[in-house]
Amino acid sequence: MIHYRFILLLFTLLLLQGCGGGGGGGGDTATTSTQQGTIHFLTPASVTVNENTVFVITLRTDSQTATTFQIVSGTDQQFFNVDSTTGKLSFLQAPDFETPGDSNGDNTYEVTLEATNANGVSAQQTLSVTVRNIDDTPPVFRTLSNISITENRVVVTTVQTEDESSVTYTLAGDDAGALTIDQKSGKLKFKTAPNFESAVDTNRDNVYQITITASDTEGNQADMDMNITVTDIDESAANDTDDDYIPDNIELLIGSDLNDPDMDGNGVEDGLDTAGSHGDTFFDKLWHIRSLGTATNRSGVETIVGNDLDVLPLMHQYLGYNKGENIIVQVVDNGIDSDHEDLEENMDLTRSYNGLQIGDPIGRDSHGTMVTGIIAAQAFNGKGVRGVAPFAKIAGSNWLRQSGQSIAELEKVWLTGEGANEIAVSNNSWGIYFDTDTDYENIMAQGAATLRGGKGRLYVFAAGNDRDINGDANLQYSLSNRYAIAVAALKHDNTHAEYSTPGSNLLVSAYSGNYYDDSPTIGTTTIMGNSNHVGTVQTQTTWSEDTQENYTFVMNGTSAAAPMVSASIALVLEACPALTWRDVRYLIAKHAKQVDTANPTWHQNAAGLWHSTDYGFGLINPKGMIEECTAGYTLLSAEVNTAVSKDFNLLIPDDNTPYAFDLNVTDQMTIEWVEVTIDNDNRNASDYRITLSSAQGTQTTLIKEGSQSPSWWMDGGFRFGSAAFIGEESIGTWHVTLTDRIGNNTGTLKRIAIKIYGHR
Amino acid sequence: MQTQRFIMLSVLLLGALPGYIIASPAHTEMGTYKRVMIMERGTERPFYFKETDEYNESAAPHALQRKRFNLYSAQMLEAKRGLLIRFKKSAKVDIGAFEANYGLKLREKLKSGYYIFDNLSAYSDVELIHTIMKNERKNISTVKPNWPKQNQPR
Repeated sequence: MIHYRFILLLFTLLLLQGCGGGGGGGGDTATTSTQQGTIHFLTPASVTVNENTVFVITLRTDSQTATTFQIVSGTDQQFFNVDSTTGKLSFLQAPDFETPGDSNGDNTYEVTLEATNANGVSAQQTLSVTVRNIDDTPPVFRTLSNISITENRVVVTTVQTEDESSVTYTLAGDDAGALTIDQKSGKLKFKTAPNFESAVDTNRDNVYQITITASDTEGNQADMDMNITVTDIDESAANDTDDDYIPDNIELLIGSDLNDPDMDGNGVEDGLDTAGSHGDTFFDKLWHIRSLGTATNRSGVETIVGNDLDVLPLMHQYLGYNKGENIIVQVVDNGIDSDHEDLEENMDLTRSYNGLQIGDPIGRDSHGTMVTGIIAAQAFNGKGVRGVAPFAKIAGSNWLRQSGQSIAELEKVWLTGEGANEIAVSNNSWGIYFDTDTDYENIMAQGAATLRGGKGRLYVFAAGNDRDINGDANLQYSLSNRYAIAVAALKHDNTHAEYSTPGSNLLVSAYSGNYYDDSPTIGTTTIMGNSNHVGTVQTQTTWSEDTQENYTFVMNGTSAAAPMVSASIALVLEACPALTWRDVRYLIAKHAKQVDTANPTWHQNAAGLWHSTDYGFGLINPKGMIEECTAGYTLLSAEVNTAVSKDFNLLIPDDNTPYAFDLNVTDQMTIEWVEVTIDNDNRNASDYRITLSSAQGTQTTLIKEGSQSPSWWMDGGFRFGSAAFIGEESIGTWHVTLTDRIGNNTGTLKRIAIKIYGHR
Repeated sequence: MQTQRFIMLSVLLLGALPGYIIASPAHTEMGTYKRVMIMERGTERPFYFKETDEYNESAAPHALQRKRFNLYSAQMLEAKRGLLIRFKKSAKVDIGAFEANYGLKLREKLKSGYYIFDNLSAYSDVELIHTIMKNERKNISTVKPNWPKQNQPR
């Protein structure tokens, strides 16, 4: 193989040598023809260049010998220069499209060029150079450089510029870190509403100094220094002088008249108005806040007057504003449209998380945006809906997103994140049918012990939508601990929603509606432009008047009920900030309203409180809680606990017979929470119905038979929680009863343990 | 098949995890599921695996799907995403030695008491958990994969 390659190489070299010799002797036909006869320009006869640039084109010919170039004529030849050697043609001065210099003023310059090769053969070409207009003007700001806004407002302005192309905006300057600007729209906002009394600008003078840079697509830039002066308002005036459901300090905030209850004279108090610059357009549809007995969604079913959260009387004084130190509620969900027109004023992006990073809790799923609107869609802004605590702030997290849900991230969100101490409530409208994860309560325990200055954060959860498959909130460790406030869902008629998961660990209920086709559901915010205001009853998801499609009436699930409880707690903590997490739970239990009294799951405990595995203690009642906590309420004494257990080795027969086991509690305390751990090796532990009777004779069902749980789920010990005994005394004999109500499997009871938390 | 796997892992472990041998297969076949035991606050709990995730229609219209419990793809049996461990308060564990013994690298200690370890060993997370549960029962209250949870909107 090598031998053949050598021969081929030698032959090729001989050929090349022959060619080279021919060139040197002038024998190459093609080259000779050019040298002796013609030379041709290879550049086009016309070119277009941008204004404000000197270079035009580099001239080329087909000559293979050295070529020289010169300008020989042309009506506009005086404007050009050509490098005789390189052929680089340039304007002597960069042309300006707006002031053309060519002879006829049409921005097309004529010049004739000549190329000459080494043999003296030459050619000429006339070139038309057209100058193109470009945007060479930097954007011109049309926004004032000195802006004054009242404190406690997030939105500063929308920066506007004039330019021939689109403009993007960036921020710099001493105080840029406190603000954010939308690159495209120019909307300038504080990351969190500024507080005059605790300014965070560099020199603490409440004048935030920033530089806004506007850049157009041609690269032209303009800077504008802006001073944003934050002015003081009187936040202490929490009365409602004109009795219009807008407290005086909020009237000052929004610029309305605190002495005129009906500014537009339409016969509706300003705080209830749905029209004008301070009305909430769809307020009359928010039956959970004020039920008017009208149809509020496409079902056409009317709500029932009186079946609401009864928060309207509180709105004379409590809206989450808290004299400018807004109550902060965290929404842990799959993302929030934080630029939503009805939410943006209440977003606290300095306490929000996008994954592990501080910032916008982005997410294109509407669930988190719906939840957030129920809590804190802002009131009195001429837009959409209203939250139950419409001046609370929202710290968002998109932990629930598909790529999220790590325990490290949840700890940051729930416990250790930026500004965590001031977040009063975490709303968690999520969960799973069955879990034995203790991670959640380990983190919540820390939050309850340390956050809010040691008074503890409240962790509110949706109880679940699994009633149809015999779900039980007690199958979730995330809910069967004393830190989680598990919330059931009510329909407009004060009965439980068809899907609402029951459980002895339920603490309270709130509204969600059933399904939007059959009865009233909840009106709230959704991702801007994401709903449907037209179409048939099958397709419409928002009111016909919502032409921008920024709202929806379809929200339901215990996901809708939980934020009502979170917001209610925010109102209570505004009224009574000294309450600990345990006091809040106690007041919830004590004041919740019993609903659906015919429901057989209600049991009155020895403290006089009614509890139901369908409803907890009933409908959340923030008004009742506030009435008590503002009237000389004494905080609960320190938490104590006691535990008792008994070992067994006893086969529970598969005979539908109740087997009761006694455990004697000798420690006296007032009960706040009870846990029962049962170790049984039945492969299908869901065969059991298990009840617990207290020392004072109150009974609750810890689990009903028939859940769809994993095999052997009670083997090794499974913990149940119960709120049913709040206020009772612990001492005495407790009874745990197991009944195997489904055939085929049996199990051996190995251990029962009871742990009681309370105070003395 | 499981026996072969056991022998192979045991041989490999002799080199990679000094002093420790995986004593039995890490997972149990349960019909269409595979089950792995983890430890949660001192109690053994099952982790389930299936070839495909199982979903049901939800009662709530906005929650399009729901899961009944944490159910992972069978591919996760081979995953090496790391472990979540909580040591007993009474345990005096030399973290450096623990890392060396099991091919782990401490990534973060959480305020809630968890240690998050990266799995740098030749073994999957569930295999390591199986071994650690066997060898470290007196020191550990929780050991489980540090995998994303599977909660859903309600």
